[in-house]
Amino acid sequence: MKTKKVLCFGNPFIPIDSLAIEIGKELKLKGFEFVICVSPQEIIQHTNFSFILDVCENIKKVSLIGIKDLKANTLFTLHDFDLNFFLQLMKSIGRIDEVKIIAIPINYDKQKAKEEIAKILQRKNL
Amino acid sequence: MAKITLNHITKVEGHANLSVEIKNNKLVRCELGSIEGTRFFEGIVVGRRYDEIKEITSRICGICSVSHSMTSLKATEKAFDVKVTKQTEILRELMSIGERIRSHATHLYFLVLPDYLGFESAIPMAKQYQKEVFRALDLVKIGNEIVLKTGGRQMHPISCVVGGFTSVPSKEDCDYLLSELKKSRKKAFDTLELFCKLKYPKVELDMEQISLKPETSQPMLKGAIVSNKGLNVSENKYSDFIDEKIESYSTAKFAVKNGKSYLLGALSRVGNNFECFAVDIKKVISKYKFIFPSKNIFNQNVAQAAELVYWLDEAISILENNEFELQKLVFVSVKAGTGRAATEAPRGILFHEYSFDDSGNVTHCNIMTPTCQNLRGMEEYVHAFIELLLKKKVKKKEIILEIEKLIRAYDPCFSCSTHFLQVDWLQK
Repeated sequence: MKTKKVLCFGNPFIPIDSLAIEIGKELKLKGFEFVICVSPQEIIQHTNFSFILDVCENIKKVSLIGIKDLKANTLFTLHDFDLNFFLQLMKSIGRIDEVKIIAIPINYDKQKAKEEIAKILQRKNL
Repeated sequence: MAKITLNHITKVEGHANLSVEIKNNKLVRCELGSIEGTRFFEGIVVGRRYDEIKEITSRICGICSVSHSMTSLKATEKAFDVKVTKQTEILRELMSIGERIRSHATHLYFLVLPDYLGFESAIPMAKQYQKEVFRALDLVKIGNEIVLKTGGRQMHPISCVVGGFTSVPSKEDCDYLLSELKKSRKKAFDTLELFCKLKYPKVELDMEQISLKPETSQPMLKGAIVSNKGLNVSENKYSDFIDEKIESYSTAKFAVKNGKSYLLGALSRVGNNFECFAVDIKKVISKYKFIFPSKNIFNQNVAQAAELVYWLDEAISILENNEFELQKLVFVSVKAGTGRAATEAPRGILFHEYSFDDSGNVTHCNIMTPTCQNLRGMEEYVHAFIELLLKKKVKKKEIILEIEKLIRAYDPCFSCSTHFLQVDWLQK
């Protein structure tokens, strides 16, 4: 079985933004490789990924969302570039297809998140 | 009297604020300030050991983390009279080149280009200009990879420490980078051609343009501090001519030289070091009739594109002429003293200064970022540009768009942490 790559984004030094990275380091699932990314730009380095794992505001449980569900920012300085920008951009030029984003609520229980993420990743129809 | 407030015109959180007041079609007030929270980095490092400082100050900015790291190491090493090896100097330059390439490519293609091609952002632009976006992503990628291979991480490099490197790129890493850089050379030249072809507004201000000048190359990590108005001093003397002022409308300080604004960044660097460009870069610039030094801030886009080609070539040259081996770190003999360092970050000269006690702990720190130094000049440019546009009876909506372009040409990095821009427009 081909291993599926899960890119885990966040900032390890900011508690509310570190959960995806912590889970990516700890979760072991057969058939999945978890790759830690600390900068949105790192997505440029990857084209053959299947999932993105990141924390998300305004959700109550671990959810599967798509690029279309993300709200775009207008950019002014180099600090305004976020993961959403690079995903939209790479989709626009056909470098990636529709991406499945596993969104974890901010400040969510880590164990609960791990179980819900595993359940999503192991769905047969994904 | 009509009061018009435009909130979040860029649809991002506004941490910088432009306040404009117009009376009878004349500009009477123009204040540009940063309203971000104070970040206390200069205080955080006080009491810390010399070998912790780079790790902390790198966090001032994700975009310029290499620049902060390099400047911090240089200042620390100067305080202890540490002389690093030639290989360390070369690797530090290579890492800085990676940062410069990715920063310029990101800024030019994803912030500047949509303005001139008539798109709100790079995302709608990407469908029509796929080739350009692919080129941009490839350039950003090679910049990232240089930083990764030399610094151990794409951001906040870890292998560079006081006295040298704890790991160096392998032969395979260097061969890979060299091959990718050679493939990217045409992309960099195409970038220069593209940005030379764009039609820029003409707004000229006779501002002192300050940069480093290493004499035989474009500036990166060393050189005297020079200007187009005769300044020529060592980096140790920076505080003799720069004052920092506080304005009630900004939490960021405004830097001035003898009370006047000055300009840092690619436009100043290229103007002060134009002779160091290779003939093929000069040819493209001259083909499109750009002349450096230039007083038009919009030509900074061309200057950045020219730097992109120059530094890509320099990276190729470094990798063709060097093989790296892990060397022992230079021994640090701790003593009380002060170190001051200046380097060229993508947006201009970055100063770090530390004083240490005889145990090697920081007792004083001063850090001046390029955007803080450019803030006063940016305000004056905006002022001059609005006056020019009002004279031409340009409508408010278009004026705001043009101001956005100007700010983007400046390539600000608001105190290295914030978003931009909220405009308050008061018309009487």
